[in-house]
Amino acid sequence: MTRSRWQCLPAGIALVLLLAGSHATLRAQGQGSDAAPEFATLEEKADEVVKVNLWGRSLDQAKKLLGLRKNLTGSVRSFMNGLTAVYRRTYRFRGDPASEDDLEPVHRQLAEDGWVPLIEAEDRGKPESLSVYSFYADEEVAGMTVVSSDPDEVTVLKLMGPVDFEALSAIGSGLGLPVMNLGSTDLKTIDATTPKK
Amino acid sequence: MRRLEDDSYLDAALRQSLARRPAPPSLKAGVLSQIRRESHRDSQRTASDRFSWRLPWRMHWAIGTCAAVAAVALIWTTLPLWEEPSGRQPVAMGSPELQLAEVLQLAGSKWNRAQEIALSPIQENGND
Repeated sequence: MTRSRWQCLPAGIALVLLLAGSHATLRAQGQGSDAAPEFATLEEKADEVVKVNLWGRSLDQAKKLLGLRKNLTGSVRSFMNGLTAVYRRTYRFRGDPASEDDLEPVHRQLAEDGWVPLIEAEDRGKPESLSVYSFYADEEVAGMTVVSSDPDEVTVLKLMGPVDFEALSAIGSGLGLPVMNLGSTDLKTIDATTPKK
Repeated sequence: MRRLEDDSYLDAALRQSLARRPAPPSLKAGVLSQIRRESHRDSQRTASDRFSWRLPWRMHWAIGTCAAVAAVALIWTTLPLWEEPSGRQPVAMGSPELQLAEVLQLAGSKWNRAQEIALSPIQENGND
């Protein structure tokens, strides 16, 4: 009896390690609530924070409902259905604008998580910067993250799953996803009228 | 039955039995000491048997505690149980469908904008 329990002990330890390992894998792959990007420095400084976490059932529900819309192109539908998790973090600053130092932890965290910079663009005429990161699994693009910043707003968008950049470009041009045309200015208006809890 | 378990009774009975038999005193003493040793060993074994059940139970508690700690740690790291109180509450608007559409549109527009900014110097050079 004692021996059998001793024999069970390594199995129990192995089970715990397996669970911890799978948890870490999920985190690395960006699936699950714990994989949501969190940037404490920006959140503390921001006057307004928008958070969207879509994964699991909520994402499946969103994909189903969006898939019911007419005029959804095949490539957009395919791209959308391949997504496994979608996160958005928007930090808005009214008084104290965001600086490069505030953004540095964002880029550092993405680099630590294995994200590879794809495009790093900065408009010299405007205080605006855009960085696009991609995540690779088995030499395939398995996700993308966009970090955009201007003095008033920092937005981090994380899409997990195979990325069809052409479909994404079409969506960005207002094609293929005939739902609504919400730019960041419109979002600000909606947020301003949303009662805070 | 109790008499058989009583060492002094057994000792006395053995002495009487050995006294009736013609045997050298050294042999009798050897037999007695051997029997005492055996008896002592048996009593020790009985005592250890009494405590033997505690070991598995201790292990049971240890395994149970480890499993409970591992489960709590796993839940703690997996679920955001609570958030620190803050004056600013995150704003999450609309249904998941609208949120997904909005994020995709934002990502698409920012992807296009990034390409636009990244490619603009090359276009200028090409025009020159």
